Parts: sequence; structure tokens; C-alpha cells
Amino acid sequence: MNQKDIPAISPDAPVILEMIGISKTFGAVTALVDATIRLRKGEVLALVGDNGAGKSTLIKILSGFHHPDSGRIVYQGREVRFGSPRDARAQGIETVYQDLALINDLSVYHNMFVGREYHKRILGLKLLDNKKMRDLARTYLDTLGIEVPSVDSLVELLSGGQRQSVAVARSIYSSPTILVLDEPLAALGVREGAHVLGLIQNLRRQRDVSIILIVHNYNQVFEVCDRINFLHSGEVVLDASTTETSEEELIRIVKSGLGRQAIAAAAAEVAARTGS
Amino acid sequence: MARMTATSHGAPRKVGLREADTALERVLVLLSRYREASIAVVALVLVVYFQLGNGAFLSSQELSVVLRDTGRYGMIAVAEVMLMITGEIDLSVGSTFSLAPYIMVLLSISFGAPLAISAPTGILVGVMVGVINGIITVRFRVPSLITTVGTFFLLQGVVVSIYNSQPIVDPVQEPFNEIFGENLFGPADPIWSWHGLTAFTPFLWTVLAVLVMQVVLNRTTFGLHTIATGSNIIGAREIGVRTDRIKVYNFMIAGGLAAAAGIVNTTQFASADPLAGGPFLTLQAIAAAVIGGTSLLGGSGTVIGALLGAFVVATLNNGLVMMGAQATVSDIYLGAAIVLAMILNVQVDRMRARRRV
Amino acid sequence: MQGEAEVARQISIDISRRKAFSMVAKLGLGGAAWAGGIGTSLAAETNGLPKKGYKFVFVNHVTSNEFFTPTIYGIQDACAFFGCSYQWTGSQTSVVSEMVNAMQTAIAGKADGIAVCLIDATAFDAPTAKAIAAGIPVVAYNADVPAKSPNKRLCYVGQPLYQSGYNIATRWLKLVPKGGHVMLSIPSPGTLNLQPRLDGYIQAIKDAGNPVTYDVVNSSTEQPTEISRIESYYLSHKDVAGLFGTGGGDTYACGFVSAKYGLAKKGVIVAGYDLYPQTLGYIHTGDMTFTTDQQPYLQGFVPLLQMYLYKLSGGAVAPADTNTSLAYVTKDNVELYLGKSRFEGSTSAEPT
Repeated sequence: MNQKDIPAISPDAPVILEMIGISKTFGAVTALVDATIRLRKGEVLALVGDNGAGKSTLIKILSGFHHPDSGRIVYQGREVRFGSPRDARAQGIETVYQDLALINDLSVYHNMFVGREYHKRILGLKLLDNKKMRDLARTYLDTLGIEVPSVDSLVELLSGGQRQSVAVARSIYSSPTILVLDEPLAALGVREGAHVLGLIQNLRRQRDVSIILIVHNYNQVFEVCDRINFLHSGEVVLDASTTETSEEELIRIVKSGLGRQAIAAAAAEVAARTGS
Repeated sequence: MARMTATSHGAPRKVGLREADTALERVLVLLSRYREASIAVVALVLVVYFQLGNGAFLSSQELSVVLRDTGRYGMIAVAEVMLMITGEIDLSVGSTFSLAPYIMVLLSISFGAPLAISAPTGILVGVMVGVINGIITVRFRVPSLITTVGTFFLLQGVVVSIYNSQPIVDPVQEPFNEIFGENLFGPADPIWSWHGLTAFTPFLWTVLAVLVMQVVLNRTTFGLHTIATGSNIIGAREIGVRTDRIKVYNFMIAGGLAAAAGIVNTTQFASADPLAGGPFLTLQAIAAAVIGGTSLLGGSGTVIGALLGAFVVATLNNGLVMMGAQATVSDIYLGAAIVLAMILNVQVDRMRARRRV
Repeated sequence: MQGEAEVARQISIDISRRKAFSMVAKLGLGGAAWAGGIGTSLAAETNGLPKKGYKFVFVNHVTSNEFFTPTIYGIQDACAFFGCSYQWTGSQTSVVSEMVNAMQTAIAGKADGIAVCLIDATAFDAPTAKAIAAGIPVVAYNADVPAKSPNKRLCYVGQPLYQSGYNIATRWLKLVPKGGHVMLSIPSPGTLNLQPRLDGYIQAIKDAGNPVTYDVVNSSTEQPTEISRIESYYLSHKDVAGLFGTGGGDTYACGFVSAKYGLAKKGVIVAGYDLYPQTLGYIHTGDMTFTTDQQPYLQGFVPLLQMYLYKLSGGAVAPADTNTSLAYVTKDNVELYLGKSRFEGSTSAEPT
């Protein structure tokens, strides 16, 4: 992947999302402690960290699935509260979870349009307009460069990468403002993963949608992301752009045991280097 | 160290999709497009078998009996298919089958209501049973298997206690009876007449129900959401499908269809029997749905397959008697035949799936 | 205290009075006047039997079957007479274990008497013995264990099953042409309340020198299926000379098929058991030749009566086997049974 043909995010780009001081506890388990992230318009932001660090909880709060115990969310300049996933989606925040929420027994084009079906009237009855949905799906997938055997194929017959791509396509079809992807490459091999990374790159190139990505593989982070937020034990311990830091850096931070001082030291070092 | 052996001469083997070359393979490719193909094959095999065994099987009179049973099992099977697609099941259909016509006839006899009014009331009763089943399953999170076992006994008790287990005689009201099931086909009538048609009305009503549900399942948003609910309930919820409502609506459809089947049955025999429907009917209908291609796990199903499955079940029930199966062993044959039919269906289906693109 | 003979005489008069009432009611001769006359004269001699709040449990194998509706009415009438109460329980689908459980529950609940349909040759021996040991009288009704059984029930009230089948077959064998082929049907092969009837049929055929050949069809226990199977049988054996049922539902189905295809006109003999309203209708129209009345009303009334007397007398008045008769209902006397009667279960209203 060539980073050079993608223009970097301008430092003046407006911040479209701020999650400030978010805390969340589930019974005896504390998931998030005063976590803060910022997302600029058109940016691809990576959330990294170990299991249990709070990444999933944070995006579930963003998508309206959970409500924060404290903290606030500022979206497009206004403070908001998302009551439910439907709420968040209605406001332009689309999330693709790890389970993909694809319906195995339905075709690709039906999956694209569940919840927003097109109808036609025959003899006074409201029936599905399959032809229209088929055509729209085909066209849309082509523009995104996604290849499937046929939009009529049942989704269960697709490969992992194709399924992931269809799920992403479904989410951005409604032109969301923010797209959240939870470990999109988790179950994919190298070749398939490359396709999905390519898709994300395309979106990044167009800079139409802002993306939050939860990724485990640091290599992939640097390939497609503009910025990294590192979470550990419910806190954001590092916030740096991908040009300011490096893979080795991240690994060193992890190896240093992630004690508070180590993090502070590492953060200070990064800050000193970039002069921010 | 392995030695590379020379490959034999001849056309190199291509990897990938192989074109169909023999006639059999072409037929299989054609059949592969339709899931119902496998059950159709099973039905055909049985018809041939019984016709060869006893020449009277394909006579119009016997077909009337077999299709009458097909209609009865079929309408209940269609009710089950919709529910099974959503991942639920309804074991109370047998008691709704008895209760709805019982109430219909009681209303007509006690209050003098014309059947044209009391019959829709009976169907409404079935729909209400569906509402109860649906709400208990969805709101109180009781597995539908348990819910409907409970409602089965509850309704059975109700219908038996209304009039102390006595069957009541259906009033004769034309043209209602003629249209909904009464058989006017006498030996003197030609088959292509109104009388001849009435020999098959129970079956025809079921065919209508099948066609309607086929359209609903495959061409409406409701059908799409029904499949989504059964295939991936969590995912479906995430993308905006109202899974709870979908389930309740399908329970209502099941109850309504069971009531309709009971009403047609009562009109045929001019008698509302509180025990007309029971475990036998319920299980044969579910067997019909499953043999016909509907998965017990949810997510996929076929109403046309259910009709064919009902035909298979009806054929077995009547064909065995015609072949002279004696009472002590006839259930052995019936049970074995049902399992064999299912095995055959699965095998044909696997052959079909291998060809699917 | 009255002598047993006096008590017995009174009871038999009461029973025959009830029966007389029913006949009189059916003949429409103002039974009330009759009753007034007889009742007054007897009432002057005694205060009648005391009302006792005994609780009796009736364990049945097809608790919701319409055949037993008159049985329940018989129990209710007897209870009203003697101030007792009853529980009607058991299984809906001839599941023996459910019935045994019901007996155990009755024993544990210290019932004053248990009446049970013995549809299994051995399963009820243990609970019966346990009940008897606990001082609870056990009476069998409708279905009984085979002759040599060690079962300790005090008596059997009902139709002798095997014998009834034998007699019925003997009767229709006289009507079916020699060399003919007949169909025998049974809803639930193997159960003790039906299988002996079938065995009786088969033995009668054998003893008559096998004048006919026969097929035995399993009609199943659900009405629409019974009709379909018997109809399918007829359509594949159109030369059948007779259709004979062993239960109420399949007898009705035989009548249905006979009526539908006008078999009576062709000389086909159709007969069987019990008095479903539709069955009576077929006899009336001539589509069915005859059926039998095993008097289900008495199968409720008599056991309760006997258990009451047993308890009241401290065991001195022991229950006695009662054959609830083998009346044949034919076109000649079917009128007596048509119309609504509590004794046949077609209405719950008491006779006047």
C-alpha cells in the first residue's frame, strides 16, 4: 500500500467527534476510565490495545448500544446523547461489528437493503422491487471495487473477505458521517485482508467519511490509518498520528509493561519529538 | 524422495466449475435451482410405488381422499413453516384446529349467526391464540416449544369442557358449506363439474394458502424480515428488523391458518369434534414441513415444499392401508416410511447442493 | 339398622326406577306421575340411605373422549344421590404410566374409593394391591384384566370385552355371504379395552370355520384420519362385504364411508360399537346395520354406587361383577336412542 498518493489530513481539519471523559462500569468490571478520543473530518483513526482495554465498549457507546456513566459526546459541534443504535444510525454513525450482522440465508442484494427496502405496487399490494435493488446493489459494489460472484448469491456462500466487504458496503450505502469498523480483518487471510484494506484505502482517499477502526495488527494500522489512539485498562494512554510514531514505538510501549510512568515517559518522548 | 511420475495422456483436468455433459447432470443442474426438487422426487417415487402396488391409487375417488388429507396436513404445515423459519414452533395448532370450528358452530347454533359471520369469528379465535403464544414466547422469553405445549393442553381442556366432550353437528348452510369443503361428488357426476370440484375443495383452499404465503415469504418486506429474524436474530435486530413483532405476527398467521384448516375440516364432515385435532395431526404436519425442506434450525423454509411434504405424508397414511398393512404393524411401516422419505430427501438435496453456484 | 337384603332391594328398585324413568321419558308418558306414585309408597317405609361426603377417584384412559360423557353424568347423578364427590382423572391418550400415577396420587390423598379402567394386563396390579391394603376399595370399569390375573380389584363393571366381540361377530357372520372379505378396524392396537374385542371377532370367525377372509386396519385415534384410512381401504377393496369397527370412532367412520358410497344398498354389512350420535343416525338411515350399547352411563353410576355401599357397610356389602349389557341397537329400536338424553350423553339436562 502506497501512502504517498493519499494526501495527509490537514491539521486544521475540523473535529467532528469528541468523546470526552467517558467512564463506564459494568457491575464489578470497570471498562472505561475517563477516556477521551477525537476524530477529525475525513480521518481514519485506529483504536488499538489489548483485549479488555475498552475499545469495544467505547465504540458501543458511540453507536448507542451502551450509555456512558459519565462524560459527554460532542458530535458535529453539538453535545449529543444516543439513546439507541437506531438513534446513532439516524444521526449518521454506522457501525460494522465483528459478527457482521449479515443474514446468511439472504442474497447479497437483499442484505444490502434490509431495513430500507424498495417497493413497487402490483394490484394494490406493496411488493419488493427486487430488480431495482439488484441493480442498485450491483452498481454500488462496482463503484467500491468489491467483487462477488453475483448479487444473487446467498451471503453464506461468500468468502470471508467478500462478506466483510459487503458488510462495509451496506454500512456506507447510507452515506454515514462516521463509519466504525470493529476488527474488520480479524478472520481474514492475507489475500482477503488485502482486499478489505484496499476498500478502506479507497474510502480514505475520497475523504468523504470519517472512520474509526479497531485493529490488532500494528502493520495494518500504519498502512491505512492517519492517527492512533492506544487504550489500556480503560484509559487512552497514547494519542499520536501515524507519521509521528512507528510500529517499533508501539511495541516498545507495550513491552515496557504499560505502567503509568512508562506510558507517561513514552508519551513525553513522542510529544518532545513532535513538539506538540 | 518422491519421484514425479508422468501423468497419463488425455485432456488436462480443469480446476473449477465443471460443465454438465450427461443428460442426468443437466437435469440435476436444473433441479438444483429449486430446493423443492428433492421432495418432489420423493413424492413421485411414492406415487409410482403405490400405484404399482394397488391400481386404485390414482383413481379420482382415492385422489380425492389423499388430496383431502394433503389439504388438512398442508395448511397446518404451511402455518408451521413460517414459524419454523423464525426459529420457533407451534405445538398448539392441533387444539386450535378443534377449538375454532367448535366455537363457530356453537355461535351458529346458539345465536343463530350465519356461518358467514361465525366462521371469520372462528378464525379470529385462532389469531388470538397466536397472539397469546407470541407474547408469551417473546415477552416472557419462554421457548416456544414449551409455550405451545402449555397452550395446547389449555385449549384442549377448554374445548372439551364447553360441552362435555360432545361433538356438535354443523348446521347445513349453502352455499357456505359447498364452498368450504362439503363434498358433493356423487358416483354419477362427471369429474369436470361443480360437484366434481367440491371433491377437492379442501385441497384447493390449501393450495390458495400456499400460493399466498409463497408471495408473502418471497416478495414482501414481512417475508424478508421473517427470514432475517430466523437466520441471524441478533444481526437482524442490529440492522433494524423488529424481530419481536415479526415473531408475534407469524404466530398469528399460524393460529389463523390452523383455525381455517379446522373450519374446512368441520364443513367437510358436518360435525365439530372437540378432539378432531391432536398430537397426531400436529406431528404429521411438522413432519410434512421438515420433509418438505424447512430447516428446524430456522432461517430457511419453503411453503411449496410443505405442500409436497403433506402430500407425501397423506400418501403414506392412505397408501399403506391400501397395500394391506395390517393394524399391528402398520405404524411400524408408517414410522419407517417417514424416516426413509426424509433420508431420501436429504440425499437428493445434497446432490443438489453440490451443483449450486 | 336395616338388613342388607332390605338395602339391596331398595337399591335395585332405585336402579330400575331410574331405568324406568328413562324409558318412560323417551316414550313420553309423563314419568313424573308414575314416579310420584311409586315414590310416595316406598318413602313411607324408610328415611333412605344417608348422604356421606366420600371422595371417589375415577381413573380413565381417554379422559376427554365423548364416549364417557354419559359415564360422568352417571357418576354425578350417583354423587348427588349419596352426597359424595368425585374426581375424573387419568390419561387422555391411553398412557398407562399417567393412569398409574393418578392411582398413586389417589391412594396418597386417602381417597374413599378408586374406579379404574384396566387397559393393561399387569401395570395396575401393584397400585391396586396397595390401595386394597390401605383399605381403599378398587373397582374396575370399562376394561378388565384377563381371567387368570392376580389383580386384586373387587369387581368389574362393564362389557365383557372378548365375549362382546365374539357375540357381535357371530351375529354379523350370519349376515355376510360365505367366501366374502371383510375389514376389521381398531383405533389403537394392543390396548386392553379394544384388543379383546378384535380377538373376539377373530376367534368367532375361526370357530365358524373361516367363512370369510379379513384384513385388520389400524384406523388411528383421530377422527379425520380414521375416515380417510377406512375410505382408502374401501376404495382399494371395493368388493369388501363388511366393515366392522371395534371402537366408537372407527365405527362412526365405517358408517360415514358406507353412507358416502351407498354401501348398504350394495349389501355391505356395517356394524360395531358404541352410540356416537352420527352412528345412531346411520342406523336410522339404514347405512349401518347395528351397533352395541355398552351403557356407559351405568359404568359410572354402578361403580360409584358399589363403592359407596362398600364404605357405608364397612366392607360388608361387596361390589359384584356387573355386565352392563350387550344391547344391540338396530333400525328397529334406534328410535329409543335418538333424541337428547342425559343417559346417552347427548344433553346434560336431567330427565323430568
